[in-house]
Amino acid sequence: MQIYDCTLCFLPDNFKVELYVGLYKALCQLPVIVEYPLETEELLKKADSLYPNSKAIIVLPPQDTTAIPVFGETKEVLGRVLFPFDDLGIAGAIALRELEADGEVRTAFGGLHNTAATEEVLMALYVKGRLPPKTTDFTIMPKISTLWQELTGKKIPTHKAVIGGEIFAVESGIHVDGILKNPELYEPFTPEAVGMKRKIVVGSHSGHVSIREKLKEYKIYCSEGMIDGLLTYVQTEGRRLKRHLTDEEFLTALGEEYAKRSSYS
Amino acid sequence: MRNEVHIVDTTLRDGAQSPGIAFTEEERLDIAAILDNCGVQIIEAGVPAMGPAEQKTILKIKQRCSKAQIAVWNRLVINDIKESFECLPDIIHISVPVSDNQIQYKLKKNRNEVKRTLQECAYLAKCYGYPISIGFEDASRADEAFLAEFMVLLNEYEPTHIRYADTVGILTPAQTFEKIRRLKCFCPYSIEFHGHNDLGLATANTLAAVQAGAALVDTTILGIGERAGNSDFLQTVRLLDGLISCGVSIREAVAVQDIFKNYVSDEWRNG
Repeated sequence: MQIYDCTLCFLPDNFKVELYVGLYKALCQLPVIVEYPLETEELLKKADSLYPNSKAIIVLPPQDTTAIPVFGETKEVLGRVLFPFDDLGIAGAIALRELEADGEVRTAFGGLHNTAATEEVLMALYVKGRLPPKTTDFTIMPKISTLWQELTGKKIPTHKAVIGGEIFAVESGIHVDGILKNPELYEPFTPEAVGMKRKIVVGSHSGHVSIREKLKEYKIYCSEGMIDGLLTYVQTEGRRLKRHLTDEEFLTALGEEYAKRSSYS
Repeated sequence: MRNEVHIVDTTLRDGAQSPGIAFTEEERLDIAAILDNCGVQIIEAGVPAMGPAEQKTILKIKQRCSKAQIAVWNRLVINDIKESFECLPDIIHISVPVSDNQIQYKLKKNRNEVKRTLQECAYLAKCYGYPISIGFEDASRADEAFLAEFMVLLNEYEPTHIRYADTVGILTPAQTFEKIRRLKCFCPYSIEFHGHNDLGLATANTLAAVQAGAALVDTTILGIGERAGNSDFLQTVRLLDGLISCGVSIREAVAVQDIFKNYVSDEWRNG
């Protein structure tokens, strides 16, 4: 079982060297073999010594068509590195299937260049307990995401599996309550496992619990009356904006609620 | 493998619950109408327990749709079922947490209490003449022997189908195939699969479930939903195309997605 990550091979040519080297180093923290284009080898050598889990390759685009697999059938190992492309949105599943059969696959972080996404394949193996315990530190992922975005000029969708910025946001009343009682109820792996944090956001689905938690976060005390007022405001604004409120917007609303209250007295 | 699979779209229920998603009543009616037009068999329209406004909207959705069946989602709570009657739905869906984790920490009950409450809820719905479907919430982490116990119990309530929900999105396609195949051995009802995308595998899992014999699959348009979302409607239609008939053509699914983009913010539109 081996994952080859070819993210560095599909970056635009005009990259900033320090970002490129930064991404190389960060990717090498993952339990994969990091492939880089032969022409950047000198550059990487000059910047630092090369990592043992990396190697130079000559870049080729993904070559494996997404013939729809039958998931119930036993898979024969391919005998070469499988490099699926993602036209049908199941490249990750195809790669995973090859790995489960102890094969080898090529992927790229964030599914760059229409490939299977490295982070998704890694986390699937992790959740299944298929990775050796010492290789399961994924806290570098947010850093990789940041460098990836700067180098590619693309934005990682906020709901992208594993690395999306909003995947650990909870808003609806029931979920906030549940998450606080027992996070395992609603999450396949902890946010901390991938270097993120759970965050409670407020918006149209929020309930009293969400508002109270948010206030606790800022160590602010409010009366029940104020919480009611805040909740109504947050729900209305959430509906109008069609998104949850930013922390700044929440604090502004809180300020206004305070002002309203004090002018009454 | 079967020659037909039904799409259950839950954009208006599971999708609508996610952070940053908020539909007006008009939008919900429009979304239901385009889904109804394109050949989706079941539309999960909402959660009646959320209150009278929600119930009124669901009732309007029901009146707007001529082809699709309208299902409403219920917790395992008697009062929720009563609220559902206000919506005159085609199907009353009852969601039963089945993993010990959920039973213990979310419901704060034991397995026997869960079974008893389900009987009460199912009995009430059937007394009022409503078809019911049963959702196994967090089924992917549940004890299969416990799932089997439900089959006997459900006998007299004749559910239209059983939903197998991978609530936290931890299954892989190979596991999904195996679990649905085994469930089919002891489940006499049609099986519906509900996948989440936490590992980027929701649509692949949906495909695997169909290959193992699932008769219904859940989707949301653009894959909207909690965390990394649900099985994407268009992607699911694309995957099933050529393999099995799902009642919706790729062309129609593309059109649905294009219209739907007007109802969500950029963060989902570009995802």
